[in-house]
Amino acid sequence: MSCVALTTSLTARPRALRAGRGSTSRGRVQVAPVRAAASSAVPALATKTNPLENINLLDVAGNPATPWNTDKTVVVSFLRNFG
Amino acid sequence: MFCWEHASELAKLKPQFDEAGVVLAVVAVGTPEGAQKFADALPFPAENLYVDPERNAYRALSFHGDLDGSEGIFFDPKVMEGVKRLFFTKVTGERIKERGLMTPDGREKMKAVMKNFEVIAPPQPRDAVQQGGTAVFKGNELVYLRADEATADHAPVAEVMAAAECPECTI
Repeated sequence: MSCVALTTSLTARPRALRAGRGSTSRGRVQVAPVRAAASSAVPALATKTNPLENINLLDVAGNPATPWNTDKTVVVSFLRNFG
Repeated sequence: MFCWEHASELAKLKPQFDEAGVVLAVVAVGTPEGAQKFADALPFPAENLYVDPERNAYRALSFHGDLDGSEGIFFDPKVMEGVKRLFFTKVTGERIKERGLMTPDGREKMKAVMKNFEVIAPPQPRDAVQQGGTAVFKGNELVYLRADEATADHAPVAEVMAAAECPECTI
């Protein structure tokens, strides 16, 4: 690596990180920045056909279940896991 | 543990959901046995609890952190992003602060929620980075969808209730 290239790599990558483009010092990994930016207030609100139409969950007894398969309004909260 | 806190908030809302004719369903990546343990320990109404062991619903809704097992262990961008969302984002700290969980009252609340806490591991190690979200359905239509950005980030209750047309439902 030439001196010019070395200088460039040492200065440009931290700037890229500060700009939120995300890379390691070796430049191998690109990770999208995760920002708070109004995330709590910007829901993806759009009426569309149920994408879970053909998906089955299991209830606590292990039986197939589709809680959204009803005429009622259904609020489904997807947790990460149980702990 | 923030999943426990969120579920306990939803459990408090259940009577109001019932009164308004709105169905509440809480889903997690796990097994039926894990769900039963969770329902007993929190406690949470078991009839409103479901599991998605293969994460099919999470994938269909494009929630963050969907690893399919084809990723490398180290330095894979998807793994790195998943771990980042799990532990290292500002979002988590902001949500904890917003919900007052670091105040004396908030700490007391968490202590009560976590009284019977036990780790209930998801089926696969890669499931650990899966993030959740919230969806509201009316009939067969999806009218609200929000993907959680990171650990402790959940849809604001008021927003969900507005989508469900249950504005009188408050914690």
